[in-house]
Amino acid sequence: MAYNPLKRGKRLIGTSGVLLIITAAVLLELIAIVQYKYSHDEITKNLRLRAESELRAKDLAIQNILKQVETAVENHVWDAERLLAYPDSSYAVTRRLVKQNSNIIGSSLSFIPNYYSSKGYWFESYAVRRENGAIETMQLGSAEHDYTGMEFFEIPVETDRARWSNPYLDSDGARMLLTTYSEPVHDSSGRLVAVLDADVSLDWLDNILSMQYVSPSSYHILMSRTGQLMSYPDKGKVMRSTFEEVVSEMKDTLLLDINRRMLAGESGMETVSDARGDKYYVFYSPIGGNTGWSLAVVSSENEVFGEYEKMRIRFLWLRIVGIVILGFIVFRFVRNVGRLQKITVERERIGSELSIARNIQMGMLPKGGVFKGSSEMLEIEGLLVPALEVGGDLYDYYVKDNRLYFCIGDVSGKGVPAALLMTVTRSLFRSVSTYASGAAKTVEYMNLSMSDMNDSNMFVTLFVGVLDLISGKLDYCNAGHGAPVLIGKEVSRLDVVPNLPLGVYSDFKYQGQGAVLPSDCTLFVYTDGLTEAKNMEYAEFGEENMIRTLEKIKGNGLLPAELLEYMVGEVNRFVKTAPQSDDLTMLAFCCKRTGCSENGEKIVLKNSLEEIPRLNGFVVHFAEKAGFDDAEVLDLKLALEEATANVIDYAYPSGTVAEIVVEACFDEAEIRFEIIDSGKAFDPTAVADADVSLDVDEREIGGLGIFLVRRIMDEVRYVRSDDRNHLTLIKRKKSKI
Amino acid sequence: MKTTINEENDKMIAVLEGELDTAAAVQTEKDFQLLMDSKGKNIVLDCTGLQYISSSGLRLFLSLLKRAKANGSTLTIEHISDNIKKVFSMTGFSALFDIR
Repeated sequence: MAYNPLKRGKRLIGTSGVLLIITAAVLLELIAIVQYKYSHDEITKNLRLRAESELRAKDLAIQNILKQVETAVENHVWDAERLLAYPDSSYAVTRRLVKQNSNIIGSSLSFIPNYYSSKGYWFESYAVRRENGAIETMQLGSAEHDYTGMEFFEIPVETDRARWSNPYLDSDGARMLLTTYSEPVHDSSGRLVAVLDADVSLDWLDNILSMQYVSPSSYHILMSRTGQLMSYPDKGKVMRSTFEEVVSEMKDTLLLDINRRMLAGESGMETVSDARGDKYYVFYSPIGGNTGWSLAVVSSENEVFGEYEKMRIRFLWLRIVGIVILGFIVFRFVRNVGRLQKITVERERIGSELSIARNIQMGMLPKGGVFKGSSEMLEIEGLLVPALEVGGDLYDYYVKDNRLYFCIGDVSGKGVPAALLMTVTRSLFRSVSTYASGAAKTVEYMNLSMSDMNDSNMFVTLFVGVLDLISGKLDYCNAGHGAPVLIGKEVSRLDVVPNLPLGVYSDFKYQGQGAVLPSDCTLFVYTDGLTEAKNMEYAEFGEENMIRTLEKIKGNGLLPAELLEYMVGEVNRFVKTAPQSDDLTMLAFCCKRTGCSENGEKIVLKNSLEEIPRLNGFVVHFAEKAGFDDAEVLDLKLALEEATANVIDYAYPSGTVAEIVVEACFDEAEIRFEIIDSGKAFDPTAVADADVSLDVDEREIGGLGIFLVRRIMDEVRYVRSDDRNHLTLIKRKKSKI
Repeated sequence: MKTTINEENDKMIAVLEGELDTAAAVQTEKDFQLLMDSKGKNIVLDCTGLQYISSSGLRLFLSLLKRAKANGSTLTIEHISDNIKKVFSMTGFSALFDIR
């Protein structure tokens, strides 16, 4: 199965997206839980503090009132003991006691049976506050009202200690909740003789209990030492049931436990649940003193934590919304990442393909170097820096048969489209230049080919040149490109006809041009990427800068490679950090005609046919020296004789005496002769070949000489320079194989 | 370059010796005048001793051939060396001349 990075990446991101959401949710929930726990504990702690403080406050308030009663009773016990001798003073004692404390609604001084013989078996002097505030006193003791068996009398007598009775309901119609404080009265000998009690209304209890609440709906449970309910939300249960009875109905062992603890006078806190599952906090604590009462505060958890719960729910919703939003964001992100990844993969693919394309393009460009002929040396260097990965500039060159074929061009546009056309242009140059005769023909054929298939209306400016390395003769054709610069003693422009760029008109007739490059001068060709290189201020490097730079280094004898390096340095110094705006291409070469230093000889002849044998001797001698066989030597002798005889015959007006120089040199590959004369310009290479197929009657007498020269020699080159004709004849050695 | 002309019956036999280069052709042309003037006689050029020929020589040969043809006589080239045969071949002279 084919590996698909896209699919794999998408799945990975999807999984990690879900994982991210889950992690975020878990984290949020964990934080919430910790926060909840912490807050819950804090609130519970706070609630406990508040409940304890409430219980304490109420305990103190209750105690305060009871204490007043206790003190009042105590004081009057003292009074009663002092007045024991006067039985009727007991009315005054109880009256005063009732009068003194508004919470005391009645008081009785009850004597042990038969204490006063005058009063009979029962004697209980009783004072009571009537509703109008008047205090009445009376004797209550009787057989119907036998107080000796009543709690308020019996227990203090038995224990000989002051005591709060269990609360009870007034037997009168008011059914007021009452409790009685009883204190024993002793005679001077210390015998317990009576009990002084105060009936205390517990009306105030509700006031005190409702004073302060832990929470709005909290309620109180006040129970007596026997578990009798003294205060309870269900008023019907008050004084009718014990807390145990109420609790038993609920069948909650915890409540029974609380009941037990409250009865035992313990304090604490418990959490209980009701039948509906609602939770309640029960705080309980005994009331001080010796009442044996126990008070409990009950708070609903819902209420205590109600607000907090609401908030928690709200936060929960917030978290859910948050997670949903996060999920959405992750989803979008994943989708975008997927898309981005797709784009990235695509971009990487294109990038790598572009990089390969760049390598291919760069690989097409010749690498520069040195080409050595027997008497000349070409040094050449090219440079192409594309602005993008691939570029539309091109240069190319190759050396064949002592000729340098070169071109430099600029395809309209940049990037891949330009690069495609660039490769086409370069390929065309390579193939066309080999068979086309001369630069103009090369350009013409290239243009034909490119115009035909130019649907995208792109064009190429091109400069094509063919340099005869031996003669320095440059045959060139400019197709809308800039003029090359010639760097010799002076810096000058090569004269160019603009013509038209390639790909514009298929039938355009390109005009070729010619020049002779002096030995040791450098030709510099470039694309507008050089002169139009822009700096950060969008200023262009410019032609002037380029010419100035070339002027500066013209005498330094820089090699083409060094020249280009220097120029690139100048351009970089100018543009600084500005991004490259266009492809930068330069080509520079220098052809030195060194002459035959080692294997060179020359002969100077007069313009007379009589010199021919001398020439022939020279040629034979030199050709043999160069290693040619007899037959080849004869051929060479013939060719040289024909070429030289031609000069002697035609170059000079008859009667003039002039010199003809024949230079010869050879290397391992070829032998070369150059015939130099100062006669009238004549290019033998331009003469049509004699037709050797004609019948004897039609054959011309002349014209055979040049024909023979061409047939024998591998190369015949002519250039007119320094007002001289230079005719070079080259014969290559046969391959040894 | 040496040209020796012998008359035998109806034939003029010219024996060419040496190198017929451009310089020598001047003299050889004069030597050939006898052949040019020999009306009706067939001409034989014995090239056994001819070592070299330039286009000037070829031109003389061609002139001679044209004259002979015009006079209704023949021109035969004998004992030509390989090197010269090659030149003849290059120039298309092989087809024009009767070479033996």
